[in-house]
Amino acid sequence: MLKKLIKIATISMISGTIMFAANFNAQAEKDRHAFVNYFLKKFENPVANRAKYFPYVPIEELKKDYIYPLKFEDFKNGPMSWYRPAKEQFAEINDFPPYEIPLDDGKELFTKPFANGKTYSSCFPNPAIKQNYPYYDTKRDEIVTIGMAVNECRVKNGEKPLKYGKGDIAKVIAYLADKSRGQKINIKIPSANAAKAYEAGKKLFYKQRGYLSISCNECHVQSAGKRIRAEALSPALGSTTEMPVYRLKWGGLGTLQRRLVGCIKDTGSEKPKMQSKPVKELAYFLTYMSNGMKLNGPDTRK
Amino acid sequence: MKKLLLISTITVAFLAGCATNYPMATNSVDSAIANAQAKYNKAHSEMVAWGMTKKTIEKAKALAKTNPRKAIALANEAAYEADTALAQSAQYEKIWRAAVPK
Amino acid sequence: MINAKKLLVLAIAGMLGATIANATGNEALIKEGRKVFTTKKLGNCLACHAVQGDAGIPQTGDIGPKLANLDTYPKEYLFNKIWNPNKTVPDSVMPPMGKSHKITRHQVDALVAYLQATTKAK
Repeated sequence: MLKKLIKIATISMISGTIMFAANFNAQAEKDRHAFVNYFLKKFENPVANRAKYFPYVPIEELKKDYIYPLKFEDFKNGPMSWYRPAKEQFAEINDFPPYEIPLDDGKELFTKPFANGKTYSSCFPNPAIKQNYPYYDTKRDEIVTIGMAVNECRVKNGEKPLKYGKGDIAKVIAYLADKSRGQKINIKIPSANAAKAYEAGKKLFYKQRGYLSISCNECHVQSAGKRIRAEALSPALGSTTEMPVYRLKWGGLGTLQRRLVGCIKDTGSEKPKMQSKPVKELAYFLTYMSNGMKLNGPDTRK
Repeated sequence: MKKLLLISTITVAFLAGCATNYPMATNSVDSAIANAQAKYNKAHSEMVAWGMTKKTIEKAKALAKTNPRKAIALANEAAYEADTALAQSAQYEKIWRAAVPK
Repeated sequence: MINAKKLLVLAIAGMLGATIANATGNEALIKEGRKVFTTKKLGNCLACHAVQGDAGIPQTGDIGPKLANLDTYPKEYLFNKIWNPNKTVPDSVMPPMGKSHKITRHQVDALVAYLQATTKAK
């Protein structure tokens, strides 16, 4: 009898702990399912569902230029997933991917010894780790991005940190991304503060801002699959898989942080600093939304 | 007589108060810039400031001595932007959740 | 009598002149409105809207509706919609270009003139 009681008590304690731990991401999981479903429904049959999702896109264009139905995994290709003209254009460009040279540079940087004789491998013995970034470090009680991890590795080895956003840091991250290609995004929410960070990122994503009074959501969820002038708007789902990205507009590689602060500036807002708390929270939220999708970076975008 | 003086003083003070109350047409260039700066600082700290407000204040500061009229106009424009940004943020705070897919 | 005749002629000439001046003024306004509509640093309206009756604008976006029959709307309604769409639709995707001081009252008037003249139902 006593044994049985102890057993029951132990089981309920364990399951209680598990339930408690799972609670931190309960809201995020709800959000993510709804988010993924929105995109799957939107791109299931744009011609049939034009009134609901694409009311102002000419029907001939939907028939001629839209690729559908899309599956979850397709969204890693951004606008090339659904927009035929973009797909054709980029298939040509990626015959000789423009990110290949900076990626080679990244490999060289990664393997070249620091002044102390060690390399990045001392910090990243397994470079296939990008799927876990950004992660919430419960000990430090903050979000750690892959750029931070690269710079902390440098400082630990007596080197100066690199400037964020582009240049060498983007090249090193490109190497890590390439080694992580095909890994599934795996963002966790391990604490109450992590859940708060997720919520803060979610608000930054959905709340209108800037002199244009627009939000990330309005362009990359609601208007994803439409055109702003001739540009096909990319879906937010899968939008972190291609990072770091070679943008033709930049003529070079850039990190997720660079892309995010650029996007915020485009709303008519003051440009926030890369790796600042709000931008990290936005990256955390946005990457979580694509949990389970395979990494495909570095890749090329307009 | 004293009473009359008092009343007229109060009236003048009241009218002056009204005149400077809106639309922030501050006569002094320094107070116009200070006003814009304070509002910008608040918008900036809440991470809702618009892209060009800071630059507009800097321009106003640079013109404060040589062209105070222009400087005041620029400072008032910057104050307007910061005010509008803060009001916009308060407004959207109430409705953004409705946009999250359910 | 002669004076009255003279006066009448003068008056007619004056009216005619005013009409011509008005017409050219309006044409200038319409032209300016089109420029505001298509210039990125001004209205940049073409980013989201196509215009019925003005196929000459290249590569219009399709986030907002193709603008048509706007002559059937009151000027004031269109002015307010462009000045600050959030007033009537708080979560509108359309930016409040007037309220944000990105374009002036005069430029909004010009947009209204351009859109009403161009999208007229035929």
